Amino acid sequence: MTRQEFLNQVLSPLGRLTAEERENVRRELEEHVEDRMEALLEMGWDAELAEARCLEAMGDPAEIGREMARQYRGRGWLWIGRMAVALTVVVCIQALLGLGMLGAAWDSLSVRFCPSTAISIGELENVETVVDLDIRAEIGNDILRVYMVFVGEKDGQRAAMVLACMYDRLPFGIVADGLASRSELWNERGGTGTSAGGSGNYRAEYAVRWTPVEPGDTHVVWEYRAIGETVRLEIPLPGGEETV
Amino acid sequence: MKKEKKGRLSSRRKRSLRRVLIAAAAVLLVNRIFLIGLLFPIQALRHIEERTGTGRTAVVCREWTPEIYKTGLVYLTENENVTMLSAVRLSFYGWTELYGVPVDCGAEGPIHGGWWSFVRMEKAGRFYVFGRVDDPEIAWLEVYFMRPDDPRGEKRIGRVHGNYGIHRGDSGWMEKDGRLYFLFEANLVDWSEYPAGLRVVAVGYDEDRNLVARTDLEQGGVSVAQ
Repeated sequence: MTRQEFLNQVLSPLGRLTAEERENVRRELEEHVEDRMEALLEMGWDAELAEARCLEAMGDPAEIGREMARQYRGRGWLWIGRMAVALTVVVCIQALLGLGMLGAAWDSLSVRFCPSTAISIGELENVETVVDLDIRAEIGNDILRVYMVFVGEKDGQRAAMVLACMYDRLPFGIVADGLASRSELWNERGGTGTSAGGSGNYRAEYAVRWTPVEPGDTHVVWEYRAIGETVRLEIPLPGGEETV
Repeated sequence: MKKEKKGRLSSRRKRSLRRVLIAAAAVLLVNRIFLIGLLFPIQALRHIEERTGTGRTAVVCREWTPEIYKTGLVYLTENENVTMLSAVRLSFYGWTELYGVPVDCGAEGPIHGGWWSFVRMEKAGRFYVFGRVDDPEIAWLEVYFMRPDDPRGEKRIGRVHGNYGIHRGDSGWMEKDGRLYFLFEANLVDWSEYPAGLRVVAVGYDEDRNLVARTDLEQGGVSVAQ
């Protein structure tokens, strides 16, 4: 029996195998024969004789074929594998088409390490002081962070302007929208100014608010109204202690 | 020279499991980084919860809206502080969130509710009125639509398109975790009939039809999906 005849006999009961599986089985058997032949050839055997001896040693090809067929039962696994491949392909195409969304993913990282200072501070003039802050509060799954306060003049009166950002506790998570519309900035007398702007996407929200302050004021309060809770952050004003 | 040892032939099960693992990793990565490729509608609902800041909600009811999107689903969900109506749909990018309209139920009051019109291309649409009833006396609930030029509500509109009154036990009246929820809905026949500035009022009655509470409902948002 030649090697080809042997392989054909092994593969004949494997009709339900996919082309790829048949090819894998064929390759595996051929490699097996090659390995054994190599050992015999090294011992000085004649090639034809060595191949015949190897095929004989492998046993009954029909029995090997039946054994292989038993290993390849279960079309369910075959379909599961095919569906997984299809899903992977679809997801990769979605990712390629969604490459533009990577910018927002980057925002998720930048907001927690170096929040934007490029957002507008409105019409604040004659800025006296700028102070970096790091005041945080947990709101549900999100973190509200007040990170900068300016003191200057707005509409002819002394004002404090505060920058805040919000992001999900986990990187790349979704943040609640409307930081600007859900926030107020109160001064010590209970007065508040309007929103000075805000921006945001699914990963990072920014807001700027201002309130009139007077010399001697020590703090302002950032109030955030979430559904079911209101969070208040006391923000010290630069130079407040010295003026008191 | 010794030949390199070959790996064993892997079985169907092993190979499929490996492919499933690769697919799962790809799906997780795309879900997390791109926020797309969601396999189940409830995942899109979770996105809406995160975005609206409601916290985790439980589904009260869910319905299919084929007249707006063939694969569209609208959910009424709730938790202690909020009742929310949300819409999701299946697109090429997997399940995708459309809108979420939360109504804050944290303050004390007999009826908390909102209304929402879900319209596509100004043609097909649905009008929803939803919320929570906290007064156990209320057995009947009626909803009135009032034109801005008709503050007394004499010219009620919308009733021709459906029945806007429900009684406890009706299908639009649902119970979840001991709290009562309502959901009225109607197909929008003519969008122009619902003008800007429309007032929606919910009126609660007891079993004997005595007035118990009357509440102006918040407009959750008019969604004009493209």
